[in-house]
Amino acid sequence: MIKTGIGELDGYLLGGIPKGKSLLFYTDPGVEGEKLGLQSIYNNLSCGKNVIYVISSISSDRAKESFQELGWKIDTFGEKLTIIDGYSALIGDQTEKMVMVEDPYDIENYEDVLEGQISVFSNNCMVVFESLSTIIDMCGEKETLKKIASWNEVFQERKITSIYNFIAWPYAGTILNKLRRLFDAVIDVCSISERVIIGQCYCPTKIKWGGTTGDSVPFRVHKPGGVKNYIPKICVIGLHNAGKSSFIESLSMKSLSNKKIESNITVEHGFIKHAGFTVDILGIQGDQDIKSFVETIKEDIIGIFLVIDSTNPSQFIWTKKVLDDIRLDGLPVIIVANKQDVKNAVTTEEIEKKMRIPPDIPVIPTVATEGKNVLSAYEKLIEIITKRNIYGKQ
Amino acid sequence: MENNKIKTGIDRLDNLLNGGIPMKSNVLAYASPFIGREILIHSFALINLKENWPVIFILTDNAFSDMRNELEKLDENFLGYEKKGLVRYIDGYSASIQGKEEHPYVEFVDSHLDMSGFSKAINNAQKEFIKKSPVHCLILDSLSTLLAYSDAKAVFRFLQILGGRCKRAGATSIFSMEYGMHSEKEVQTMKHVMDGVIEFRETNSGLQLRVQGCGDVVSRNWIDYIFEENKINITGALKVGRVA
Repeated sequence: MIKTGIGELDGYLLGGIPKGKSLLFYTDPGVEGEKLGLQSIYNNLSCGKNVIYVISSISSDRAKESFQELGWKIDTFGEKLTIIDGYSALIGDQTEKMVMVEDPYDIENYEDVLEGQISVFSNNCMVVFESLSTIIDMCGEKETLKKIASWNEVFQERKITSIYNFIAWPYAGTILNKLRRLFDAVIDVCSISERVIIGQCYCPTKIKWGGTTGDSVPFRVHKPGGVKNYIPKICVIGLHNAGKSSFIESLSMKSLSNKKIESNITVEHGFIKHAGFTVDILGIQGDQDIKSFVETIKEDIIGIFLVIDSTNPSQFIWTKKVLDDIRLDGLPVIIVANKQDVKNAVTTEEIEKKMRIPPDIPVIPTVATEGKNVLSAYEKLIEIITKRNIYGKQ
Repeated sequence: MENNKIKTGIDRLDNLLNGGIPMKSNVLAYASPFIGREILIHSFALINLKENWPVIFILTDNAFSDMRNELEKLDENFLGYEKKGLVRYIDGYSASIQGKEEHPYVEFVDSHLDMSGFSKAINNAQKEFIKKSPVHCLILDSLSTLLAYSDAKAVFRFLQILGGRCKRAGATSIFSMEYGMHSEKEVQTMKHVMDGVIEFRETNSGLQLRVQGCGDVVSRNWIDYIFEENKINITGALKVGRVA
C-alpha cells in the first residue's frame, strides 16, 4: 500500500493506494492540485521508496523549488528520486539534463524514457506525472489517452503505483469522460468559489478498490507544511428575533452550544455533516461588528446565510448594507427569508424587488422553527460553492 | 464609466466605441508590432488607474520592470498608484531569462506552459481587487508568446476559463496578439473567445484601425490613424459623410 501522506485522504482510500493501482487528481484550473502529488512524492521518499517524477509544464529547478516552498529538501533523497524532464525540450533549453524526453511532442518518446527509468529501479518505484494535461496538449488527445490505458495495464502487472495530475481545462466532454475511466481512483480537486476562488477541496469520486466517495474535504497548502485539511465555517447572520437561532438549531446535528464570546462578539455554535461537507456553523447577532469578525476568520468561511424576518421590512435596509459589505470578500451568500408562515410575511419576490438583490444571490423562503426549507437553503449554498468553473461541470 | 463602458484612454477611439469598451468584456488588441498596440495597453491602464480602478498586468514577453518603467515615464503618478496597491504584475517572462527581481506587487510564473500557475496568480490578484473596487482591469501582453510555446487549443481553453472568471470577478480585459505571427485558424480561434477585437493594420496608404464586436459602436469600417510621440491620433472620419 502506498500512502499519499495527505490527512484524511488515505482514510478515504482505505489506507492508501494499493500497489499497481492508478490515481488521478482531476484538478480545477487555478487550484493547487499538484501539491497533493508533491506531498505523495515526499511522503514516499521519506518512507525510503523510489519515485519517478515526470514533469512537462515546469523546469526541474522549478519542480525542486516547489518542494522547498513546502519545507521539504528533496536533494537529501539522492537517487531515490528521478525527475524525467519533458519540459526543457519544449522551450528549446539545450542544457544537458540527467533524464530528458528529447521529443516531448511524441508520446512514444515519453514511454521509452519512462521504461528506461523504471528498469533502473527494477519496477520497485512509484510514478507521478506533474501535468498530464500538458502531455495531452503536446502529444495529442487520442494518442495520449491510448498510451495511458496501456501504461496503467503495465503498471498494474508490475505493481507500480501511479499518480497523475490533470488540470481539467474545458476539453471535449468525451475526452474528459474517457480519461476518468482510465484510472482506478479519481480525486476531484475543486475550487470553492463565488466571484473568485476562496478555497479548495478534494473529493474522492471513484475508488475501485473500495473506500469512501462523495465527501468534499477542504484543504489549505501551508508553506512550509504542505497540504492540511480544515473544517470550514458557515456564518449565519441575523438581527434580533429574525430566527437565526432557530435556523442554526434546525440545521445543526448537535444541539446549539452555549453562547460564547469570540473577539468581543457573541457567537452561537452548531455543526452539520451533509451534502458531502462537514461544516462548523457560527451564528452572529447582526448588530455587532460583523465586518471585523468576518475579516478575522474569513480564511475559514465558505459561505454566509443572512437571515431576515420577512414580517419586519425595517430589517431589509440593514440586510442590504451587510450584503454589500460582505460581498466585497467574494463570499457566497444566501438570503434566508424566514417566518414565511406568518400572515403578513413579505414574499421572496417582493424582498428581491425591494432590496434590489442581485440575481445571482438566492432568496430562500423558510420557516426555521419548523425546519421548513432550512436544509434546502444549506444545499443551495453548497451547490453554489462547489460548482465547477463556468464552462465545466455545474 | 459612462453607460457601463470602460475608457481606453484614446479619446477618439472611445468616441468610436460609444464611450469605451463594454464593462466586463474581453477584448483582443490585434496588431503588428510598433504600430500602436503598446499605446492602447498603456493608455488603458493609466486612464483606469486615474479613476482608482486596479489593474492586473500579465506579462509574457517583457519583465514587469520594463512595463513599470514605461508607465512611470508616461505618467508621473504611476508609482503613486502602485503604492496605493492598485497595480499587480504577473510576470511570466523574467524566470525565462533568470531575471526574477523581487517586488511586493509581482508574482512570478516560471513557465509559459504553466497556465494553471497563471490562473492561480490572477485569482490571487483578483481576490484583493474585488475588495477595493467594483471595477478592475486586466491586461495580458501577449497571447502570441503563449501561442508560440503551446498548442492553440490549449491557449483557447485557458482563455475560456480566464475570460469567464474575469467576467465574474468584474474585470474588463485586453489581450494583445501580434499580427503576422499566427495562422488564420489560430487568429480565428482566439477571436472566437473574445467579446470584441480592436485591430490595427499598416497599409500602403497609412495606418488604420477597426473595431469588431464590443457592443454598439459608431462604425465598423477601417479608420485612418497616425501614430506619433506615444499617441494614437485617429484622423479618419468615424462616420461616412461626417468629419468628426
